[in-house]
Amino acid sequence: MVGSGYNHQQPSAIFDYLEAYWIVHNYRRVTFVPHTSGPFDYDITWTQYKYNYRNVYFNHIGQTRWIYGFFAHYINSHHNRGYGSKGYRFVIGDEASYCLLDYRQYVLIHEYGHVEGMRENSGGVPDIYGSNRVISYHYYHCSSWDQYLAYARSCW
Amino acid sequence: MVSQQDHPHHHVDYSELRYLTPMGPDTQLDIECANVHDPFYRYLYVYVDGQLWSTLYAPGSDHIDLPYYSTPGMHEIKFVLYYGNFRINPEALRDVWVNYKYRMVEVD
Repeated sequence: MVGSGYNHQQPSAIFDYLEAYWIVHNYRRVTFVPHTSGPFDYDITWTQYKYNYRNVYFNHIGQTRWIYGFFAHYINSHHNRGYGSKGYRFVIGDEASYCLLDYRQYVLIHEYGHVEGMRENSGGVPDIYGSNRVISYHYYHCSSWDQYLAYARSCW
Repeated sequence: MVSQQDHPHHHVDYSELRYLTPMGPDTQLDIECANVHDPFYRYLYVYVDGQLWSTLYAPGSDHIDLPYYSTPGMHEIKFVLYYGNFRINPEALRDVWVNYKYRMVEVD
């Protein structure tokens, strides 16, 4: 988060929002642990993020309970807010369009939702918490709740 | 589930609510108890799988640890309102959130 010339450290309210959301809507608790290691890049790509940051600066690499999140300036372009991959990692460009402070908590929920097995609107089962404006266009990778729960159990 | 007599004016010493919830490592309970139009403090006993685990009070808010289960599974949590009836004082159990440690996110 800390780099030359620009500080990508996030206000704790960003993480508190997701942690509280997860406690209210799920029995499984998510805890964010901000670190201050890692360099800064103005604009990185998804591939650069994986090989130059995640594989290098992830202190808990290989530990199944831990995933890696990263805040950069831009990801690929000024319009991409972030990426997330199922059960693995996410990255957010915190200066992208619609990713400024008043909206970043929803972007974080969106990208973390990908880690939890949700995907963009392309079929599948809609999220039961569809009233949320970010989650509402999330759909699970799985075609049924039984499959989703099976995936959730497989995380253990 | 209200286990005592159904009639709201029937005198009962206590009433209880039972839930089956997932529990796992570092299980925690977030709870908020209120008493609306109720001048008395009341005990709220928390049982886990039939064992008394903690004594809370209504009104009050608490954040307490529940048992540690290395393997997540379903366990019964029971709230006993003493004295009182959840039918008359439903706000004695306003919010209950049970959660266990599942995932940590390292953010750089």
